Amino acid sequence: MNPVMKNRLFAWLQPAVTGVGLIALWYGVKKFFGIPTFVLPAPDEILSAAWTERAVLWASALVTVRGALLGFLAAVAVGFLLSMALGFSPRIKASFYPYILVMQMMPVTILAPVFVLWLGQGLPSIVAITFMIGFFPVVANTTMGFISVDRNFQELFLMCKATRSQEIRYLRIPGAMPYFLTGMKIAGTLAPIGAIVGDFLAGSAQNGVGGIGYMTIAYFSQLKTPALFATGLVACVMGFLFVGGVNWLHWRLLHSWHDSMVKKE
Amino acid sequence: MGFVAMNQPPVVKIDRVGKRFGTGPVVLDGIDLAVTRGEFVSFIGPSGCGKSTLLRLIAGLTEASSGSIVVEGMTPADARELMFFVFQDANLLPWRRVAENVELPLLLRGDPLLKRQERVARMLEIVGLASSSTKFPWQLSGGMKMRVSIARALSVAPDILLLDEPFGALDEMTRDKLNEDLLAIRERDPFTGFFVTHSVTEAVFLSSRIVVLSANPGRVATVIDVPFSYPRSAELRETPEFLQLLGTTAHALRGVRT
Amino acid sequence: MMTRCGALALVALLAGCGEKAAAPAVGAADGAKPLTKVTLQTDWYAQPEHGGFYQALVKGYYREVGLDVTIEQGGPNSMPVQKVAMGNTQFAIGRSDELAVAAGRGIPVVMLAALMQRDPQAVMFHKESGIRDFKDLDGRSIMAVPGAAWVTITERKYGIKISVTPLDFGLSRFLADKKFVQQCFITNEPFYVGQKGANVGALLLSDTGFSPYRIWFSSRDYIAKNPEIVRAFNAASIRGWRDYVDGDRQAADARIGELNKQMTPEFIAFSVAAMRKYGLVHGDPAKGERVGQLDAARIAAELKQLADIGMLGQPVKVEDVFAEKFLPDDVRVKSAAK
Repeated sequence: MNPVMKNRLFAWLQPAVTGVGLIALWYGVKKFFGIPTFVLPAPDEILSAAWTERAVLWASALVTVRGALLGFLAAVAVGFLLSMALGFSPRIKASFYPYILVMQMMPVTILAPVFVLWLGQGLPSIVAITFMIGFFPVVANTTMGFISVDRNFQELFLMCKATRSQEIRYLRIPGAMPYFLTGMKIAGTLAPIGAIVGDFLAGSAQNGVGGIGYMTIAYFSQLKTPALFATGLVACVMGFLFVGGVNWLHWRLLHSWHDSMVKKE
Repeated sequence: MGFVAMNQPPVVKIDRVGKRFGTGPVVLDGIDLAVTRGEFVSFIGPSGCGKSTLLRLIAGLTEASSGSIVVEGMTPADARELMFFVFQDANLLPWRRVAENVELPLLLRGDPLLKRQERVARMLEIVGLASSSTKFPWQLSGGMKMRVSIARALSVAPDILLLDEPFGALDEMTRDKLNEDLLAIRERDPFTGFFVTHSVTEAVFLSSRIVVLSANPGRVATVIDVPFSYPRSAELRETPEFLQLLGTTAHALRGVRT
Repeated sequence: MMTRCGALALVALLAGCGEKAAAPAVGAADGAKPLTKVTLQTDWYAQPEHGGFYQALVKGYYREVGLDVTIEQGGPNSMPVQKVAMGNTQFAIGRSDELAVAAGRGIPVVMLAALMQRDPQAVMFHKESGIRDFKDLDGRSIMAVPGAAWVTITERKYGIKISVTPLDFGLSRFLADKKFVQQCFITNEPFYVGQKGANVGALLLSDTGFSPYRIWFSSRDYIAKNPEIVRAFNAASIRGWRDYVDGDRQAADARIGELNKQMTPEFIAFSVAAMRKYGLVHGDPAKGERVGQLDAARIAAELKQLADIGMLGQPVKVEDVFAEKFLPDDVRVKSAAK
């Protein structure tokens, strides 16, 4: 087997073997300590519950994805615009940045009832909560991007007699892209979590089917522990998909020219 | 003697110029210099003598604290359309391809698309990078990047070209080649040149005059005339006259070393 | 302020992994026979809905039957079923339908007696919303515990649709929105929102025909190994409950007030009055109901209701979930052939 193929084989073989080991450990621990299923279910019980509940899990995943996606897009769009304002006007930044920080620090549990009173139960509030959780990383990173523009580039634009708006369009915005995309990556990781938390605080369910967060409580109160873990599994998959999606976007926009993407020779 | 017309009014007049950043030390003090059209003037001196600052003052990138600079009868800021700057680091925007970097000044001043494309193609030909027009900066060597930077500077056909240690990071062979290329370009499309360097060889090879500055504060220590005619060839570097001038200049430089 | 069926605590689920047998007998009160230590895990912070147990404690009824009882307060994540099943506590408070669901998952827990014949769970609303009856809940959003059986049963019975939003154990949303409907204890939340000026109305959930008992329970393993202790605990607790509702509860209330600062005398009076008004503890004596009683027939009917809506993972028989022999004789349901 030639070295290139060997490397590729190892790349997925190593985590696969570890995975098998971890699962074996799981069964071992369960058997050794005699842990009952309603406390810690076995992997096969979780998968079996996932299959049985698949219709409900799918429906609830869609609910959560909808909230996560909308909240994420809102965080990215509003975050970007806000960063522009903060990045280009030191006065605005000095005036508003501390309050943005405060909003970030305030626990979502306190703000959630305010959203619910204002926007109503269900999707609008979930989107608002997801937005709250995701927009600060976007703002913090992107603002940094707009501000940290290379002084040499600024001189270049000065030599070209560029107007302020030309500088913004051709220098600051492209220059801020790597920072913005970093912020977007972080927001993408947080969005599913935000939507699930939003579900606890502001979710709503018809026919016993709500978002992932809602189903977590429902299964817990019904002592359906394998199904509870199955929702955890769904949440993981959702997280991976989100992160994968944002990473792809990151690659697509930056791979041609940015340090982080370009392989060093 | 080529283009150096000695009895013309100066194209750049630097009159008792001083520069100080805020409440810091005085970087330049009482600089006087008159440069006529077509000259190539190098500034050399120890670190901290303010040569880069002087270059930036002429370019209008910063303002003098005292004295005045007149460029083509205007302040440097007003005269910016007639000048361009080549930075120490090639200073290419990493997200733009080579052609897009070269066209940047033309784009910003509003030239239409076809005119830009035509001009960029010509510039890349002149610096010998026509085949690299779609590459990104990270794909180029240091020498190539600098040539793109020069192509960009030339795209606006400046009357005055200012270069701030552009070849400092390159190896000697590349540097020598680029020196020759620069003079060749100047033969075809003349400009008045201002050049900051640490290399005495470079200064002597390129310049019509060398200004030696002392440091702390930066003052004109001496001005050396370089009598060789243009166009200059690579062989010039091996002539005894060249070597002698090298020695004189090096001696002057040692004299201002603190 | 409170309701049962805890919120989320996944980590805690994995935390309680250890078998603890009942602590061996310790220090004697009367010198002759040492008292047996047992623990009762309640489902919330100390409140009048636990009154009978505190009565038995402060009046010494437990001591008289040889028990040294510790009453462990619960909270939003008290998880009584898990704790009993894992052996972390000997007795705990719950609801008969919770026990049925647990048994349906194969968890070996068994109910012993009832502290209330009728569960105090209710839905409260602002009278301005025009709600009079369960039918009027159609199309509304109710803050309740996700997965609760009563929602499905109520929907089916009245042919209505309810949308559920997770309970946050607070009152601010209710107070801010006149259309808000919230699951509560009829002995509890209406007092607080009434104090804040809300014109509050409530519907007792057991009026829907789904009427669980509020019970205490233990593990199958424990009752097999300690029948005498179980009998003694049951008897003393039932005595405490009778005494609490009908007798002098000052000392018990004082103890509750010590443990939970929010239990003002005013509030406790409201709570106990509601217990009397709705016959929660006594039930309906005309139908033969007694304090502490559990009726196997009624439990069987409830199991059927739960099975019908698919809440039971596997079929559950009454004997799986109720151990009648530990009830004192005078409390048991007398058979028809008497």
